[in-house]
Amino acid sequence: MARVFTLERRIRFSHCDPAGIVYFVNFFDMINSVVEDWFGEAIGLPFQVMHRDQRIGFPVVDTGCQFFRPCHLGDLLVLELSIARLGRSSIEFSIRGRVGDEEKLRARHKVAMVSLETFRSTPIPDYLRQRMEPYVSGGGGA
Amino acid sequence: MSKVFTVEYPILFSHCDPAGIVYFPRFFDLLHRAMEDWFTFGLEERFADFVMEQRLGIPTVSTQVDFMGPARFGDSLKIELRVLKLGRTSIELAIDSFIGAQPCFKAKHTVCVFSQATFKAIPIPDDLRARMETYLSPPQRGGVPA
Repeated sequence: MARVFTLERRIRFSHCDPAGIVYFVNFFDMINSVVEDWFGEAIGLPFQVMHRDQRIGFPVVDTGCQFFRPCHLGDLLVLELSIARLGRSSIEFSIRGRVGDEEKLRARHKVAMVSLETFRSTPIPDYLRQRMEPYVSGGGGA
Repeated sequence: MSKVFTVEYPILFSHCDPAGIVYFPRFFDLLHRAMEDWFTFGLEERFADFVMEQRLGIPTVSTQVDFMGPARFGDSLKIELRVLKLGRTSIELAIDSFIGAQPCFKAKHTVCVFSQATFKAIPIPDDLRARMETYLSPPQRGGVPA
């Protein structure tokens, strides 16, 4: 059973647009947050260490998201992250968002490790890969 | 002859992250800006009136984006918008961007027309549909340029 990393986000005034629902762009900021917190809390590689000290990064290669129902001010959005595929230098995340039992969004979000000096992809080191493996769900879901 | 809506936006300081490149959610903001400008200038349907007077909206149903190269502070991002498919309530767009000749992101982006009164999708109004059809890409080209 793959591990799932969870982040809760209260939908704030600043997330919402003039049509009264969450502006979809803000969901991508939340997707970035769950990835950032997973690196820091689950993998033990906080972004400041990754970027500033180790001079590596995980830019987005591609992302896709389906939005099922709008989110509203005050909703408590629960984001659930697992790994659909762990490549040599890439990580394809499966991220689901729900409010209570209602599924709001489902994303496939692929990042790849690069050197910040060259912006070329570089293999994920074994010690990191070992920490990531428990989150591999094997491609099911999103 | 199908039309292509083209705009060009500067990459600003506020778009960029500590790695010195555009923070990817800002690309979605630029993509949305291109859609707004398409409504206002391409379709001659002022987007602010569409939202604030007509109480309609175009929430995202799904999006799929490939990021092909980074954009940096000071770059100028050219965005091309085409219509791939018009459904009853949905609009499927190809939104491609370039820095010079270099592809930046390519998106397949689907929105629907919705009513703020019900938060439910509604059919695309006929007059708006007619104007959108002029941007419909020929299907044989798949809508997305190589």
